[in-house]
Amino acid sequence: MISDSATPLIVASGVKKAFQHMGRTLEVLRGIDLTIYVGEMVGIVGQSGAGKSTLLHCMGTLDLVSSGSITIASEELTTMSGARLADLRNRTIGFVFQFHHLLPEFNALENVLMPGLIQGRSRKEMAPRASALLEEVGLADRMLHRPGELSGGEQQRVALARALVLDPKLLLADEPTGNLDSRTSEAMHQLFYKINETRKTTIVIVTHNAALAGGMERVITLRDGKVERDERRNDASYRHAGPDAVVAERAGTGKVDVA
Amino acid sequence: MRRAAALLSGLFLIAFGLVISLTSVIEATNSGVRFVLTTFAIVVGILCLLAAVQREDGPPFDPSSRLAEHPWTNDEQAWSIGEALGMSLWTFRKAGGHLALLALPIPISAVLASLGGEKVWRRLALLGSTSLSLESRFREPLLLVKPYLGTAFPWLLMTVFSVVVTAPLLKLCLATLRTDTVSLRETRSWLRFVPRLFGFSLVYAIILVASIPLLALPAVPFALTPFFVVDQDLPLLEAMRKSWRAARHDFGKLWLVHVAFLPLTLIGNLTVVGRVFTDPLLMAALAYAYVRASGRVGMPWFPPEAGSRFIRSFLRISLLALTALFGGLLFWVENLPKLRGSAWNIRDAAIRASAIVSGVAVIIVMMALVLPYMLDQLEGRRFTAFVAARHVRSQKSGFLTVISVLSICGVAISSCALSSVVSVMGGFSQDLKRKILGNNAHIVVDTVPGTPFADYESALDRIRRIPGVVGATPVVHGEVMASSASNLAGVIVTGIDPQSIHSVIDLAHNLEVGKLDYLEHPSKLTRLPAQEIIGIGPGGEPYYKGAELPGVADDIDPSVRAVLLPSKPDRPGLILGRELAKTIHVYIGDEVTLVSPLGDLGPTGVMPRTKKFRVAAIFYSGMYEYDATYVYTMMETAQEYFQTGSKVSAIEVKVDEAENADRFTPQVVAAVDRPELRVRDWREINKNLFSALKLERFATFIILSVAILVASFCIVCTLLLMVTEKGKEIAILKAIGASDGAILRTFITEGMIIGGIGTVFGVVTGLALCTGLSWFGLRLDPEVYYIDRLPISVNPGDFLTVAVAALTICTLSTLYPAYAGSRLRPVDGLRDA
Repeated sequence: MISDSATPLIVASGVKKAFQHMGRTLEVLRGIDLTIYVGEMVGIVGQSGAGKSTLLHCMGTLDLVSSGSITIASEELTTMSGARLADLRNRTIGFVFQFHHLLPEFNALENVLMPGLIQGRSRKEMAPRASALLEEVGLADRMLHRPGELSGGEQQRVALARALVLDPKLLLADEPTGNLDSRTSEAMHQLFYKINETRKTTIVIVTHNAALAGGMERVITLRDGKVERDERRNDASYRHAGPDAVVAERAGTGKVDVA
Repeated sequence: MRRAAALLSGLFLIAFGLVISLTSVIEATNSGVRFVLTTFAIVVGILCLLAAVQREDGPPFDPSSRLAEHPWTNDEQAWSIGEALGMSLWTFRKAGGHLALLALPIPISAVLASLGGEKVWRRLALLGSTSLSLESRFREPLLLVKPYLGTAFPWLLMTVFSVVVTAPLLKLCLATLRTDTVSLRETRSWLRFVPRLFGFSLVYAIILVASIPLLALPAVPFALTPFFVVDQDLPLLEAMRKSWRAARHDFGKLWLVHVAFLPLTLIGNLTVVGRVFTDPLLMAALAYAYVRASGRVGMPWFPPEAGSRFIRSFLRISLLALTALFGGLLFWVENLPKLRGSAWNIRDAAIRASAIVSGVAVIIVMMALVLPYMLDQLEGRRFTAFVAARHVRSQKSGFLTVISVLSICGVAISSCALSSVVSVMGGFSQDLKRKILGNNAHIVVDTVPGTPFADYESALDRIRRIPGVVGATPVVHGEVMASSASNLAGVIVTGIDPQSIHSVIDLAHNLEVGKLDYLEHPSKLTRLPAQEIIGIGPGGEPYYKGAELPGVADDIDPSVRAVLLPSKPDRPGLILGRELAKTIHVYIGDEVTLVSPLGDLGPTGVMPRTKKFRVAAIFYSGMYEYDATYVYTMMETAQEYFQTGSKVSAIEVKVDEAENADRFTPQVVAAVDRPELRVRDWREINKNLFSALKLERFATFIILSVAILVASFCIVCTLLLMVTEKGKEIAILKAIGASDGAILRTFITEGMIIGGIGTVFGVVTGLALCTGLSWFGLRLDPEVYYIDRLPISVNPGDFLTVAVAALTICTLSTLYPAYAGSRLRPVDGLRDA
């Protein structure tokens, strides 16, 4: 499906990121070169502290790189102004986080239409689309509930609907099932697969979950801030095959790690 | 359909109210009935409108279904004020008939106690007569409140009567809340509780009275005691201990419940019959608190929306009750003696004050009802307003809510104080201006050294022909001593032309006793009729002249009269001020001698020039200086007395726009066309006074603006706390695409909403307060201030200025916290979950 002639969506070259922590310099990313193509579904795995989340944040423009460059849809992120970055996040990128990160004072529907409101659209304009998405993720009867009244899985589905409401080209997920039990996680995974297939949205998922990573067509393994391995499977049966143990070993512990 | 009906009836009622108030404005009648009707129509109309436009999420909330579907549990549960108020109303809706019937002995015993109790008390204290009729009681409603306020004896009597029905009332409230049934026929079992409940009433009353300095806070946790007695059959001390333990944590809430019921309780106690509704309502609210706090029987959990809906419906009822209270008090105020001239008494002052307070409370409750609607409107708008309004509403963190309530209160109180003080200062200056303009001309034409000038007639004519000049009159001034039989004082004599003086100053209007006519025809003063009022006593009582010959009719034959009474010589008339009349002890018709130091040369040197006058009238201008020093007489008399011939001291001019008198001075100068005469307007003449007043007002404005500034620090703190607390939310908003600017605007809007609510509440409360004060009046001691009531000028411009100043300060104070919030980096907020 993915060929070299496909259009690249994210191009990272020589990305480095260092933090100052208690007087010491902590190098989290030590030069990452990476190209992610339109329509791909990429898993990023690696041990805790390997820099997975930081890389995702940098790709999602939530964090700035120390050196190197990242382009999304051939737009250079490192030289963009804050306002344009915000606009890019709003239009091009959707986020799903491990801790759902819904706005607690707003109900499910309002949470989902918030990206549209930020863009300056009216509630009326956004509401049909938001409620259709909530129905699609199976929350038709939970629209007026506040996040506090929803279960973890339901909250994560609201977060997914919110990420998709403006039809982003790119969906970034940071351990989306890290806090869910295995059954709920599986349902979530199927949703991600479905979105990738039906909407052709490019999805990048940071995960510790062996089952999820095992089902991806491309898995990038990070170690100590560098790309250790970048595997791509063209085998159509990968989604349900692959010994879990291999992925678990690759992913580090195979357990959920909250770091 | 229902919405449309509510909308239509709301609009109709408001229009009706406005039409009525408009007609009273047109007809210039100020009838209390009309005003009460208007207020009611507008209040109910606004309630209807609110019902029509308020957006409610989901179907109406009915506690019954929740109560039915939830099993009883024995867990101690938290409760909110809104729930207590709402469940109280719900209980009354469910079992109101029985509750009201059961509570009937309470008002009956109150009336009996106030009747009989006072009788007994009076007899005990040997006070006056004991003939008190029920009818007089209803004419004097304050007497009905006496059992609550006054003597302890009637109160005891009332308590004995009403405590008998307390037990079944409490039982019924509890049973209704628990969707339980109770048999109300077990008379014997109620009576069992009576001694304990009576004992508690005594103890509670003592605690309550003792803790009044602490706002009755310490007494509140004991309020649940009767429930422990009735429900769990505990001995009194045990019940009190349990009540204290159960309610200790919630006593703030319990206190607020009591405060929320204050308007209803007040109106119940005032009308006495109303207690059949208000007493069970309060009991039901406390019963809910008991059920929740005691943990004996659990109840379903209510969502926060239910609480806010409950509060809204309770506010609506309180608003109606308060409006009724206000209407009643207004009616009562109408029947009070007028302020001016009447003696001060504490009862009248209390009635006026409570009318103002209840009116202000109506306004505040109305604003509180409109507030959710305004926030709804804001939420319906764009992103920043939506998020900001929702944050302000958030009930998540109690601490932040208290803080924002406190900062709203801070802004409200300071802007209320600022607007009221500005109004009072404006009132003083306006009062002064009114008095100065009433007693002085707007423009004065005189010579620089003050010497008289001749040939004024042509100048006078030309001045009168200037467009905009209302009137002009020549006057003659002079400073002399006035002496009566008993005293003397220095005065300024002004010779006036009675034909034209009224077009320049309000002298005729200010006359308290006597007539301007007597000045022109002083011979009438020698033959005053017996019923003529010749003076006014210190309490405002008139002094009549009385018959000149006691026991003999006035219409006796003139020749007989001439023999009996030595004929009074004719003297020119004199009008003097109230204070001067008081100082030299003269009334209408009395003789006053004016003594001028500039006399004629006599054989023994300079002889003071003296002339006798008769008091023709006494005026009251309200300015002490004028009332004590100004004396008016006929111009010819003055000219003759001062030997100025046909010269005058000045020409006084009145123009149609006193505020712009200076615009007319050049025209007057041109009309006079004599270089030796100077033309000054009233502002120039009283320059020092007005510039001092202006400075004072400005200084007050600045100082009180500092108060708003201090209150705005509260907003800074609230917003900083909010920014800290909402770090994660800011990060989320940024992650989904909100720019720094959007976050900045959101928090600025949030601060502006808080500041705006505070400002609107403060300024509108100030407006209501000042309007109330200017209607009902706050009496001052005229001996001290020389004004009988606090002058207040309700000037919309002042209130607007205060509002703009407060909003500006509040908006500026939001800048830093909003900036701090917008600078948060999204990763920092997202990382620590």
